[in-house]
Amino acid sequence: MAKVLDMNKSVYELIKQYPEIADIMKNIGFESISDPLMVNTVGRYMTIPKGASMKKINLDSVIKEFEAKGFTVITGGTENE
Amino acid sequence: MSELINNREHRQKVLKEIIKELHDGKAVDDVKAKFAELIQGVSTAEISEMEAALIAEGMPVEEIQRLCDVHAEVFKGSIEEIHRAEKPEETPGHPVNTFIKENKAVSELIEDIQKDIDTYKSDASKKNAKKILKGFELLWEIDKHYLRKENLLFPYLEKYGITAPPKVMWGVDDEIRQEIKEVIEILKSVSVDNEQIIEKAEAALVRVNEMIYKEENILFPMAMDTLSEDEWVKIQQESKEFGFTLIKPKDKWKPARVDIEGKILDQGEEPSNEGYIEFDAGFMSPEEVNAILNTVPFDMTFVDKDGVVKYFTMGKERIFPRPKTVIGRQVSNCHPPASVHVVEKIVEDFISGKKDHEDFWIRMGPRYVLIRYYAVRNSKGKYLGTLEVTQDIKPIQEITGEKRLTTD
Repeated sequence: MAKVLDMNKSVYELIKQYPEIADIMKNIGFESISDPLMVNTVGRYMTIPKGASMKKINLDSVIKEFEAKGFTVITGGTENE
Repeated sequence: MSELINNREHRQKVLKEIIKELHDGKAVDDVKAKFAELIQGVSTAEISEMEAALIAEGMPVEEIQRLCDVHAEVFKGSIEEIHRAEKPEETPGHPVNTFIKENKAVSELIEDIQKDIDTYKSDASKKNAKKILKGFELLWEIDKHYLRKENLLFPYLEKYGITAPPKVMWGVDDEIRQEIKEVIEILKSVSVDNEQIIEKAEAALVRVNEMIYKEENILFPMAMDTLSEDEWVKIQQESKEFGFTLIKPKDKWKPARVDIEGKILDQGEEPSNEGYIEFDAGFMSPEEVNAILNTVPFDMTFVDKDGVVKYFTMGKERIFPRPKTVIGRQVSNCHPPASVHVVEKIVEDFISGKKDHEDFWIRMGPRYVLIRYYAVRNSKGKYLGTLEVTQDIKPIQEITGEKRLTTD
């Protein structure tokens, strides 16, 4: 089973789907991910690309990090952003 | 052309079926989908025409009125969809629209300031420094934008349990304020360090821009999904006290509904959220009043003197289920135009004092429903509104003999 990480989904949805990504994201630099109060509120509207843009983290390196951890990353449809 | 007419005939047929299903006791929820499908792409004018045609054919008005609840239910859905398409935040005067317009003005100002900084980089003259100072003094206006966000919007988010994000954001707002102030102070001071000006000024601009991104991508969508329309109305009303950043919103956004709480306040009546309410004989807490009204063995709906649906009881089994969204709506909007005159006539007679009540009784599937309308008047006889009381009287009619023992 390939683990598909849909970049259009909210961080809240992704963590529900794959709890382990919280740690991965925290290591990349998304500190708020360990605060459930943030994930349950802002997390519902936050996507990884939005977060990367806010944190000035290069999105490609984030994707590479996830791929290294065995995820298949899909980013389609971001032109709606 | 005949195809169009046939289409119309078909719709008419479906509409009749829906009314018949309601008559036979089907729940609003069950026919909602069918009705929604029927009216897809059909103007409300045509629906009223169809209803008028059914009445002309001899269908009793009361039968058409059954559609009222379905209307309300379905339109709730489509009103929301229309909202999505129109986006209230894009409606001039809506607090979010005002916030976004301010952000746009701020973004433009930031671009101008950045140009002044670039000029200063090649020519660190006093004149060019002054230009940057002027820009930052204008940028300080963003304080009003933040104040409105913090004092008007955040309290509502907190009310809905969203506490952490506002706290974090407020902290960042304060840091940005500090940075802007600092740049202004440095620019005003006698000894000017060119490098320091450029560095601090550019850093502050970046942070303001980041905040705009956060607001528009996270905060505003979250707030749009969380706050009720009435709450946005309140924010809009209180916004003037704080003032606006770089823009002056002229348009007044006015949602289609009446803000019930605001209406009560306008009439000089204090809403009693706590404490006891004094009645002609006794005192009760709001909690008790609410529970009692939900316990009485009939449904009540109250329409105020201006025809606004103000309240309905929430008993366990409502005969005519009402969506909460009818609160604040004009009762005439909730009835098909074709039958509105019936409602209006009753109310007219109530206001004039010609009548004090009017009863109807209809069969609805297994139920035999008594619908009673009462004029509600104060002790001086002044008309306050109309009370609708509905009750399934079949079980009561079936009562014979006596019952003196408790049920096991």
